[in-house]
Amino acid sequence: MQPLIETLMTRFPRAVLSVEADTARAEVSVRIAADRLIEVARFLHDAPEALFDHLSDICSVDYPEDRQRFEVVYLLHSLPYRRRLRLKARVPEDNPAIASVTGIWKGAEFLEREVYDMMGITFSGHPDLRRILMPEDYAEGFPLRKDFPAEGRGWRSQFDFIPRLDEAPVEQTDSEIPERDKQAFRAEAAPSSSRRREELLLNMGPQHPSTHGVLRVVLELDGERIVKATPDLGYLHRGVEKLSEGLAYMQIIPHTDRLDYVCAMANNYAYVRAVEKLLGITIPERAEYIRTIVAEMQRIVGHLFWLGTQALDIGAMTVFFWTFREREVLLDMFEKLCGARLTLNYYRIGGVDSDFTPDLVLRLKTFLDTFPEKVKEYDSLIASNRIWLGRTKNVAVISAEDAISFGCTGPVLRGSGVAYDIRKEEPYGVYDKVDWEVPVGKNGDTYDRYWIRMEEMRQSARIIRQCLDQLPAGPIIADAPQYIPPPKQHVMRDMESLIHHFIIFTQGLKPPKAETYCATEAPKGELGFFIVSDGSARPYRLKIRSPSFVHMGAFDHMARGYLISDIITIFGTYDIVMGECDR
Amino acid sequence: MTKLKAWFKTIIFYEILVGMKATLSHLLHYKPITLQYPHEKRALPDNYRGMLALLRYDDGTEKCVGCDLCEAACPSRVIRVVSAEVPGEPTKRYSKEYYMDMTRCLFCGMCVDACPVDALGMTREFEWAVYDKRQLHLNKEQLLAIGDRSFPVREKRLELQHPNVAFFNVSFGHVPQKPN
Ligand code: SF4
Ligand code: SF4
Repeated sequence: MQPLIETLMTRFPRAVLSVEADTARAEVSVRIAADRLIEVARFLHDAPEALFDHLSDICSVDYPEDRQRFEVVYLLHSLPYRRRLRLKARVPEDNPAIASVTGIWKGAEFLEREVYDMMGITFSGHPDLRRILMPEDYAEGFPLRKDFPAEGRGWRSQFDFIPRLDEAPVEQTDSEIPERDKQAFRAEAAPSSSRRREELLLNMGPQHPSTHGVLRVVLELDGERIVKATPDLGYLHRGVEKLSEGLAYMQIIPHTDRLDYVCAMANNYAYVRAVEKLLGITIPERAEYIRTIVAEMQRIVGHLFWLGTQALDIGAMTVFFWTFREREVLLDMFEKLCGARLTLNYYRIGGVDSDFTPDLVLRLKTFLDTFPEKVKEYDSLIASNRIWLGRTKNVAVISAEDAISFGCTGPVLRGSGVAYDIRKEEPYGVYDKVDWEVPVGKNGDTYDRYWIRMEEMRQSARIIRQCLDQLPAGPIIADAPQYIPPPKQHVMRDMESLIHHFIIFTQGLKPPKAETYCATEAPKGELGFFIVSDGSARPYRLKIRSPSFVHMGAFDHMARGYLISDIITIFGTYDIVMGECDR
Repeated sequence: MTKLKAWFKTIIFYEILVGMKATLSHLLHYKPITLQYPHEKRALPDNYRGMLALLRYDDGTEKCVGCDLCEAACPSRVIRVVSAEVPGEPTKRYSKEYYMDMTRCLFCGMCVDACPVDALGMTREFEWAVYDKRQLHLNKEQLLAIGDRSFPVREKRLELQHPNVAFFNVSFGHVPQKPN
């Protein structure tokens, strides 16, 4: 990393303002002048010694006291060199504008729109800078600015506890929608051809049963072919990031359950890992094993859910019932473990909430004994079925370069043949102590992604089995009295624990003043948490890099040219969950 | 030869036959796992995170000492505690009023973790659908009533063992017993 930083400083002496290396967390951030962003970004993307080809996320932080109020943070990632870099640029309040990097990383389009929507920073040169999560007509301001109240502004912030049923209905507009409003959903003007063409705008959703959540897509159609597909997000936007700024670190864990509600454990894990990285605490070995086991159980649950719904979308009912049968077994185990089935709230900062009982280990082993057999059964139903092949082979193809450029991760990226798995690249938990493989596809179509998910289920079963065999004894939560509440039995007995208990629950834990980005391999892709801490008990800024949102940025690219009936399977192929996408 | 085989498989719908075989084997090897829900119910585990309740000691006194920790720990601002001194006993406090707005509850269990005297418990009740949201604003009496019906086995109030913890009505043992 050091040589690269030096090259950067000699090549761009005016652009690089400072370099902050955080050795404890092995992170480097480079502060650059906003007006020189493009040249630095271009260099970092193209130069053979840098090759930051993957843009993880773009985030913004508001510092109202500073002269240059807004900070735009680019989280770069280099797939060939396996390293990360943060670029930071400041923009002033009176003219919050910065150049758009959409020409360098295609995935920046959605990410920049989100920054614009949330913080009001404009990106010059952006092809389609509109609101993305908030409603288009939202005029109350930019919600993530520090001077925006957490409860919201304007009429949307006031809801009666009991809805009024006698309210007059809103006036309906029967007239045609003006051409200006349709412009955003139209593709660039097609080359004039001699044939007469007429494109149709079709609205799909937001309540369509197969959109895996509340999602609206505006399709521009030429006959049955998709000319352009514009996803309209934000129907499930709950402002988790804003909400987190008002919550203590521990209190955020249950809120992360509601991001990707199909795989709550994965969210918990990603979040607590980020906080632990911030605090710099080490986790007891048994807890690490349990975390890995549970995360892999959750991966199986997530992939089973995906397989069932994808098959259902394509029209195969049986698979859905079968996968849900196995999912049920795992959910029962979760219930036994932490008392809930979906919103689990199981991980704790420094460990986990409750221990595996021998009975549970036994149940899990029994499940693992039969599980590969079950996966084979699903395969026998669909893997060579001609309808399944017809609906998945060569559908939603994305090349490796495009997938990288759009920032895809997880099975979507691996389906295109890029073996990027955070569990291998930056091993956490005990993934480096067990033996497993990363399945990689070839064609980047839905079928390859299907194959990868099936294979990942088998690998997860392998990981769990090895972890269960190696499971050591010991504590399940770290011993760090200033950050972690003492065990409950002690609270009632000794005064010191009682005091710690009171302080942690009333004031919360206070991490050092720092910032960190921590990525975790969730079933859907890279789930990252970027936390800026100002030393207080609440995060100053918490940004969630959700794979579903980033994948939605590639949706238009992947849907163009396919038939309207393929749209459903293209949603499904990302394993999208709108709760995570809209946050 | 392989081509011929593939062609043959195509015309006899081989993969459909394989699929049918798997489906038909289910007819023999699996019993239905569906529960007829309102008539049949699942056995919920002991640590099930259902409806919240306030608990009592076996002498019928409330456990809650009005320390407000549950209110501080709750990520969703469900709880409101108004605490007061026990009349005539200046070292002891109790919650004069205790409200829970269950419409907002996440059922995360943080309040139960936070309570230093285990005055809160999560029951196995989950059938709390109501027609009027206002019925989910619970006060102390209602919460105690839920606790009474869900935790018939109550903990003993132990005598204070250490003068420093006189502030609390100290109880021991972590998880209260639930009926089966
Ligand atoms: S379960 Fe969670 S959300 Fe509900 S009252 Fe307790 S702390 Fe609050
Ligand atoms: S934490 Fe427990 S003792 Fe304190 S107010 Fe809440 S219920 Fe009562």
